[in-house]
Amino acid sequence: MYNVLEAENLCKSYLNKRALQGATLTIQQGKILGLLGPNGSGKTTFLKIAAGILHPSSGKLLIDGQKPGVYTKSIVSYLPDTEYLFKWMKIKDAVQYFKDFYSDFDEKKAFALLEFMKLDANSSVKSLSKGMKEKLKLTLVLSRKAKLYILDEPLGGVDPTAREKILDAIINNFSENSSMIITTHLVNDIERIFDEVAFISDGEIVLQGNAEELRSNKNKSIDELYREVFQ
Amino acid sequence: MFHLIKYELRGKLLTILGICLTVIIGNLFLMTKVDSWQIGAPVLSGFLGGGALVVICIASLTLMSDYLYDDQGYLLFTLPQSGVSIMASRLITAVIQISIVMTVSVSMFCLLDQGRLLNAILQQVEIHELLYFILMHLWTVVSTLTFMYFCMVVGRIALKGNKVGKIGSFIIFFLLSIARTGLSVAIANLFPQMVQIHSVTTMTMNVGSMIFDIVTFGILFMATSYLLEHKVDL
Amino acid sequence: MDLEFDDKMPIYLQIMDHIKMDIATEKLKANDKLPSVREMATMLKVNPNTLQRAYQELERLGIVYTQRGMGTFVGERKHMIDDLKQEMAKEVIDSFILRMKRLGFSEEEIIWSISKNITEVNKHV
Repeated sequence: MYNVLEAENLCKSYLNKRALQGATLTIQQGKILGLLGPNGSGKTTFLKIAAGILHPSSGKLLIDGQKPGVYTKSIVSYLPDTEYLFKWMKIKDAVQYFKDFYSDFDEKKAFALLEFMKLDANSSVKSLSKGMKEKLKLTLVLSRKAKLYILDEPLGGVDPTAREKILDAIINNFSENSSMIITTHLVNDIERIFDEVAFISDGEIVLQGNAEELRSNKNKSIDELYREVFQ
Repeated sequence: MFHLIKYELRGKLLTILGICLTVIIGNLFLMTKVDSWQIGAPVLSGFLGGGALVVICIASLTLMSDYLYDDQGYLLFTLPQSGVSIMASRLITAVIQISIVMTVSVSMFCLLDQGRLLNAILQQVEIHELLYFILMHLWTVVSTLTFMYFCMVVGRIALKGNKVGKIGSFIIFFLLSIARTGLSVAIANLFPQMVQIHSVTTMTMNVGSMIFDIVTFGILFMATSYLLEHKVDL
Repeated sequence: MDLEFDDKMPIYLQIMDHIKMDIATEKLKANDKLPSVREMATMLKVNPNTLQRAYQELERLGIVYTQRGMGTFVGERKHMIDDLKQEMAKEVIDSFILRMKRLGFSEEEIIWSISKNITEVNKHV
């Protein structure tokens, strides 16, 4: 099994704080990894480095054997925790935008997913509710045939029905040739879709393991383990 | 890169249309006053054109700052695009939108004064001089914007805080401008060779500072592209 | 299929148990086709790899078989249903006895309490 992502001793410091302090993590092809930690633990920092929009202070991170750059951006599909679509866009413009820039984008799949999410291609991005925006972003990100999907809080601020749709979309569109990292602090809703979990605390990975093994070794759910680590 | 330019222009469409419409309506209004205001009408039309140019130039700066300081950066900087194509697309977009506004302003002015000024100019200078003049202006736009984009990016990287970064960029711009002008003048003094652009008129330029300008443009362009790709943290 | 998971236990074991139960109670019969991994995964909102693992383990135990390109089917081994019933009954009884012993019941008391309660349970079922 080959590692799609390898991070070794990854550090990122800002003027007044250290967001990552030697995080080491690997993700194999075909696996879904849950990166779990409370706010400010360094989850987003880690993902931003992998997405190529933040640069580590020291340590290394390789995706498909390459440092983050133009190549890795072409095989990484990143769902940020921000509202990054242009305000002038209609949903179909956003689809076209992704089609124009990513050669692995599957337009048919995008429209099928829009239908599944009950989004109208003609409505404007500005007018969407928080939950609908999240669904749209996820549609765009999952419609790529990427090697690595990076989803930052895909369930954040979304009502339970939308949550279910989002989970379905993730499971349906995941292929064994790709890998996925998902961050969340809503562990309970999503723990059953993780192959692996990694707990991150104060910029360090404090525990990484196979979700099923952790369950049987500790006789606890991942959610309970999470509460125990971060109480 | 074509796509980058397309989406930048699409994003600025309302700004460009707004400015052009203002210029057109303003000039149409002035045309009704040509008889009563005499020379006042073309002068005001000139001001209107100048104002439009300033606005579109400021809008061109946001082609960079929007992505450095707003969430849209997440869209642009996660695209599999090199720093060079991001940088080049910004400059080309700026040139296109400035050219559109310029063309509209100049055409409206010419309509307003019924081509009198244009005729006067065409009698004095030759076509290729006019062309050179236009090219020089484009060059000024491109090199100035490159310089300003560079300062913005350096300010963003050096000072991460939002407002501090913007003020910092301005200070960097201010200091570097002084340094650049000083160097340019010094070089012009050291190498006083001039070329004459045209045989009859006295349009000349200094070879030394011309080379200096081109070299600084090249360096700043590559440096900004590099920083955009490798150093900007969102 | 509706399945309440206990997240404290490995999910693939629970899925296996569930399928075994369906076979033992003849909800699933010999040569019935099981849903594809992806269909099941979506239905249960579980990682496809987890289902893959459950199917593989069932196959290893000879309870199901796969046909290339066709899918996974319930096996037709002789006595399989009886074996499964026996196995599952043993699990239930073992854990029952263990818990009773923890409560301090002696073997005679356990047997006595079963025979006393079995008539009452019968009324409810």
